[in-house]
Amino acid sequence: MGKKKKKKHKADQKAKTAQPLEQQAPEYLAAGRFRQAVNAYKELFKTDPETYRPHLRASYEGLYKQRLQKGMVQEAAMVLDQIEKLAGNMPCAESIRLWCKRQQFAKAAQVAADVLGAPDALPGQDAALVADALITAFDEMPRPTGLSDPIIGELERIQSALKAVAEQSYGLALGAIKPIGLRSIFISWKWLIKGLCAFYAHEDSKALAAFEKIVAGTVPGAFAAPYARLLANNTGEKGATKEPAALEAVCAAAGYETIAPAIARADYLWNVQRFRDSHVHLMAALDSFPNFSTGLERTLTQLYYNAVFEMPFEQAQKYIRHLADSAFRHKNDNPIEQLWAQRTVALYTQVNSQADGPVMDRWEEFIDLHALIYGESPTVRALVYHRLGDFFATQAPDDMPSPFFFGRRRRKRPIFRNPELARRCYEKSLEANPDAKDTQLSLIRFYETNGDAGKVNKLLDRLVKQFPGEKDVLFKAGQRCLERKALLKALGYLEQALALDPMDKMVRENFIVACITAARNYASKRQAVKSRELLPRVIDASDAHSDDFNRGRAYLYLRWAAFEQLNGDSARADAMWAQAKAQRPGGEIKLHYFYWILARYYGVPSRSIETSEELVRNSLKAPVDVAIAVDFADTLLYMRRLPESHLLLAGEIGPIYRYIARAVKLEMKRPQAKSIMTYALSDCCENPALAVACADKMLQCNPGDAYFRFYRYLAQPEGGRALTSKKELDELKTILQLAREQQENTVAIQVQKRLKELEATDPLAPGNSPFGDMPEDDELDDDELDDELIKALMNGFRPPRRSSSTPRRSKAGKKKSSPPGPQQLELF
Amino acid sequence: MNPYDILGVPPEADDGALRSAYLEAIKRFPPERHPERFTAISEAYQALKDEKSRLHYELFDMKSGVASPMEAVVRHFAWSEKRTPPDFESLKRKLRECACR
Repeated sequence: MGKKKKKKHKADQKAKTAQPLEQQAPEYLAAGRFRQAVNAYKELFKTDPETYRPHLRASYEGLYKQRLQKGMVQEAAMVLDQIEKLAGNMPCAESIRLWCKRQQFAKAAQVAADVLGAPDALPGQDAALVADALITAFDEMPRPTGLSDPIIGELERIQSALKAVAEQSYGLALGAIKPIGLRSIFISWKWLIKGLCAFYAHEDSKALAAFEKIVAGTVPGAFAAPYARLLANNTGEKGATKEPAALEAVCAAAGYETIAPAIARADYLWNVQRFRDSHVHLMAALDSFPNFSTGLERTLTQLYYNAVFEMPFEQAQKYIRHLADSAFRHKNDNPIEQLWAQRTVALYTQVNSQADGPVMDRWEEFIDLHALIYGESPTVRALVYHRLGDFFATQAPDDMPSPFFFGRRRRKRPIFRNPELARRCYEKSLEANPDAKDTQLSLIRFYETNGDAGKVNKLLDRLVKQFPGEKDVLFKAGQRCLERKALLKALGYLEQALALDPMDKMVRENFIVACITAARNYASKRQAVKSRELLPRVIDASDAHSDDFNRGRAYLYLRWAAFEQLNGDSARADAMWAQAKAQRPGGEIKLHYFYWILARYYGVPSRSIETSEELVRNSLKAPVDVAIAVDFADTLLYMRRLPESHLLLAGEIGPIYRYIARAVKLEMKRPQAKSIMTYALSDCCENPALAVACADKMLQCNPGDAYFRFYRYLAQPEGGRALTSKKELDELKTILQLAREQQENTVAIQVQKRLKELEATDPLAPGNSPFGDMPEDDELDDDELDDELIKALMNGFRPPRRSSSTPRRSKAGKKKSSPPGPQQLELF
Repeated sequence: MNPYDILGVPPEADDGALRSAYLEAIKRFPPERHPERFTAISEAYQALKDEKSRLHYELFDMKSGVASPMEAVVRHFAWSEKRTPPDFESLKRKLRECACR
């Protein structure tokens, strides 16, 4: 302490001594400065014993508890003597603590009995102390004397109930404590037993409720605390304890008493990000860590050997080096640790390495190590090489076909990560396990993408012979034949695949495509019988009452009708028409519009489609019906995928647009408006103003509709602004928030992408970042966004549909992004 | 949490045993009453359903499953079928430890 400080301290002391003791003493007591409080009250006690006796006793009691807490048992005992003198050598409840601290439970119980026998009423806290002492004495000798019969009865009930809990006789335990009332000194023990019975019977909320009723600071309270914490953790409550002793107690309550200290320490080190120390600690403390078995140790193994994939880069680098050093240090004879470490290193290299050599090397080291420990395993070798093959056969992100893309585009040659290594790995995998069907299918996909048609056909032929009863092999062979226009062969394979799994939609759709294409070929060659043979099989595979243009039974009957017209059999065609109508009652205009366009495309004579044409034309002139407008929009969107559709649909675009434009002014349901929006943003629509009108109409009813708000934003002209305005960013941020709230995931992804584009072009972006509130999105680039979209798709959300091979831009340069629509195989 | 413990099967369990364990588990924890548990059971079964899936899981799975050692304990506790109380002597010892504090 410096001179100045010393001087100041002395001056303070002087000032304080000058204050009257009456003022100082309560201040010391209130501040927990019990030594000073005792001294002050001692002086005051000399002047007026009766007034200051309780205060002096309270000061002594504070000092006594303080010393006990610090483990100063001897010193506490001396203070206790003073307390007892003050009480006129009456039994003092506080001495129970001392005896307990000295583990002399019989003496503690005797004091408790004496306190209970004293004439004064017990304060609440002392009553709990007395109860705890009586219970925890259990069968210690000598037994306390002077207890009343009711107390002895309750005491025995609690002790027998505790024994019953330990023996898992929960009914017996609950029965024993039933007569104990709320006013009993043993009430906290009753709640403890109730809570424990519920806990071991898996009635967690009941247990937690019972534990919460126990008085704090008592033995039952201390005993129940880890159970309550465990249940709170289990029910997902936050704010769990981080104190090692408490963690140990929680572990013990969870049934892991023997390893509790190790887990508590490892957890502490893990939470302060000392991952390596935590791993070292657990390695030293647990014999069965790491392992490939089950149980807690297995879960811990997964945590310690897989956590590296979730760590920040620098920490991950250090940690992976540590795992490798630990496993392959001199004289380490723990093969399981070595295998886990080698596995982690290989996976980590695969995820992070730019070069291909190290990835291959690490996995080959893993195979060798595995063989050394468990003996050569062709299955493991085949699986590792298959995975490596898939890894090297991944296409560069720019080359991946976009999930948005629906138009035709000249196919670029794919850029694989390393085609040579991919081929070599697949071959090695097949060398190890020639019967690996999945590896052969992967190799076929690789050759297919690479354009090696000859190799694909050869491998497929072999595969079909090797696995004649496998659905995926037959399906692949069918698809391949379909691509090669070997329709009958395709039909054979797909029919077999369908027989194996009639519910598989993809197989069914491919089968329908093959059948219809073949039937059309026969029909155009006037081979009516052959054409007719195929079509009932199509109907069997179709979906009844479905509105799907490919699988829907009504539309397949219409195709059949068109083929019958090609065969020159109008009567049969009419019969098919009747079947189609039966499948879609009340929606005939859609059928006629579909038939009118498709029959023309198939080359059906115009006199045979006059009825449909007339009905469509009349509908277009009649008062507008929103449902019919939606039917027109859907059909037109499907039909635009026909080859040369622009010629076929040239006369349709204008009238249909005008009809739908009139419909937009009427009341629409949300799904109807979404269909019209899809049409309005596609190439079929000649004026983007329709999209704005449709969105405005819907936004009048619900201004917070994220879907329409975003597509209105996309459709409206930008006014030629060169720079991104704050208003535009704000609007996008609002839409993003709304989309998240309304779970419009596709919209949310597109808004994020648009925001990123704007930030990239906006020089003010660093100071006015729209991403400030969503850091998780910052790291995503465009390719990752595509992955997100695929994820969204897999979760049932549809992809946004791009209407042509070149992305359209509105007048002001905004990319025109169509709303989601269904994905379909081409079947015409 | 590892899928073996989720389904309550040993690592050497065959396809049949795994399927039985899976069917029993989803019967006990239907999705409408235990959605999280049902998802975990389904994912565990997908990871272990046949020999190839099991090997794939052992070799290539990169998920830690839990965020800390203590969370591993809590998860295992939550999934454990049987909770066993300490014997009477241990119970007495623990209660006395609490009294000594």
